[in-house]
Amino acid sequence: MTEYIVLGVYLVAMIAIGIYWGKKSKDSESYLLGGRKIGSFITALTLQTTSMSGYMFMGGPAQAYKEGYFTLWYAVGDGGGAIFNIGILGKRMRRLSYYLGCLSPIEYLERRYPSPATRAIAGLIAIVFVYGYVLAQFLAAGKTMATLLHIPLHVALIVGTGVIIFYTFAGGYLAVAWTDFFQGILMVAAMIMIFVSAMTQLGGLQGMNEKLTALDPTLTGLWGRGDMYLGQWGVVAGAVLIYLIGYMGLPHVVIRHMAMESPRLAKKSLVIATIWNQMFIFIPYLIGLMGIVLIPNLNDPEMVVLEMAYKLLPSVIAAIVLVGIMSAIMSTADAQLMLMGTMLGRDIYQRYINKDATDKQLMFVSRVCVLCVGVLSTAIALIQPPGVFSLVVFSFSALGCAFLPSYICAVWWKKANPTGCIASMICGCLTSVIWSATGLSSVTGFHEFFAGIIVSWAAMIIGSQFGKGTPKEILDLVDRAGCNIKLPAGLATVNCKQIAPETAGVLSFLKESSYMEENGLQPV
Amino acid sequence: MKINMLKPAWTMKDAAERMSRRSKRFFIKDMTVIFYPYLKIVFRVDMGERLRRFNSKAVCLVDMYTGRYNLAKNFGQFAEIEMEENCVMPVKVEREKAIAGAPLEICGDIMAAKRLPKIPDIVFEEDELFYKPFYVVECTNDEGEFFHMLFDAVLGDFSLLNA
Repeated sequence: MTEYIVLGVYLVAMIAIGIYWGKKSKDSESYLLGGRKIGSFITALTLQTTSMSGYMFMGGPAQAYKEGYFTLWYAVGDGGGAIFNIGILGKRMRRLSYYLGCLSPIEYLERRYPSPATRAIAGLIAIVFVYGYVLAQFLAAGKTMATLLHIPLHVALIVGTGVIIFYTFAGGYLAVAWTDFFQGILMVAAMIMIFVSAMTQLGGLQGMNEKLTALDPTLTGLWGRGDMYLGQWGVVAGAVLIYLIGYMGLPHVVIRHMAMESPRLAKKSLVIATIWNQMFIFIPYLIGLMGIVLIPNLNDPEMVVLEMAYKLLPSVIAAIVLVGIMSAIMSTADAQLMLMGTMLGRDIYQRYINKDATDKQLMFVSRVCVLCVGVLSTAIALIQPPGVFSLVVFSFSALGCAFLPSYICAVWWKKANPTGCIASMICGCLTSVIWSATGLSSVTGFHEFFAGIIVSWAAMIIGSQFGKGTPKEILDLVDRAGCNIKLPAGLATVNCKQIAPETAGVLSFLKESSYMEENGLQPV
Repeated sequence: MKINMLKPAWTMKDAAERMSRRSKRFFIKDMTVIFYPYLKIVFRVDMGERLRRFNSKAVCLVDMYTGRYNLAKNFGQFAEIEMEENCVMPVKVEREKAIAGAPLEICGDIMAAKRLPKIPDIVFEEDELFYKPFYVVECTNDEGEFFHMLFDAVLGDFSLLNA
């Protein structure tokens, strides 16, 4: 009963946030990018919770339960993921996306690498694999609720996904970012509670290591249970790299950089996200390891976090852990759903169907797309496609390999051109898909992400030597995006709150109109 | 185009001097004017016969570019001037909708500001569209990098635009 009440309160709170922000979204920029007014704290948490997904509550701990200390390679990469992601892309991508006037990560690629093929190929890859991701998250949400509340899967799916669809449909990006913020806090709180009580029972890390070694000495080794990956450095490199740099290739994650209120917030967001990461990332894996000692012979290792919660904590707290799991799943699902709406509205409808679409029409179409994708995904999830987490890893890897070099080179390498971008997207995505589908990881000892990313980078570098270069005006903007304006002391803090709304209004007008050019001023 | 403008209290020269006082390490390269649209709406605040001592007037200021509402206090003088169209920001909010939405948006502010004991009737009396001048200031730092500031020509406040 407690689970029902806690979960009910949580779901109602999410709906309320959706309704509240729905009233605030008055134009397409506010619906799709929160009006680019997202502060550092929300940016940091929405970035991290979107990245993490239900994998951190179910897949990660289950892997640690099965493979032992080896899985900490993933955590090592993940722990530095925020530093790489925000540090490399954050400020520059925010600036360049603003200069290029784009609202979606696919539109951003098209404007940086101007070619009709860029948008078509990027759109196709993103829509297919982000959709796979949405589907997996929906299914994970349904399965979790069904298992934990002992209700039929179809009821759980309809309730869980219904709430996600509702607040994303109603509130847009702002609702997604704010729900992510609260979900991020819940996720950390839930994990820390289990971690502390399990640690107390086992006598700290030393106690856990001694018990694990007594069970099987290879569990505490770095090559996996039974030394299954002994000497396979390609697998280790893939495990570290996938979460260290992989997020930079995920459209639903990098769109968070574009929505930041100001490029200056990137540094603060980086610090917050890194602190949050260190508090969160290692804990799920360690809980999986502790589960080996505390709950041996578990039938479904994906349930290890929850089983630990019920074993170690009072039922109310265990219910909060359940909400934490739902939060992790929902915070990723909503971001992907939102991105699908953005891509279908901005990149398909406005680009190919109605070029003169008004702001209201675009917002309406994006909303309808969110609704349609949500309903369709729920329907397909009811039929239950195979394997949630294999679908996640497959989609993650394909997206990361397709887009990572293009997003990084967009702001760091001026020689990168449309030919390189297109070659990189096609080769990276295909390599990852073929590697996964044919099981080449086990044959070659190379993780599919590792193989895909090498091919993708090679294609970008080689491809950029051919074809037309990027127009000079875009290269100038890339230069400007990388330029840190050093403000004189005394001016760096000149931000009068009294005229803050007017400042934002004027900035948006100057950007949209030809005022600066007509008055002989530099572009803003 | 002819517009109704709130008279600036700060000339461009005054503005430059004021900004220079904050730092000597930047150079003002250029300064242009831009006009920001507002709607001034006068309402009668009616508390009924028994509480008539609370009856008063309230002025609501609607930002006609972003749709933001504020309770206004003092206004300067207005003047009609002829301006080039590209210096005048467009009105993005429908006048009728701005007026219709105002009572709900500012009711709480009116009650707090005037310490009213109950929710008043807010009755529309008149409205006036006007424009407030701002200066867009183009500056460079020691290294010649450009940045921009916005200066409120009526109040004298200023803010960084894009740094």
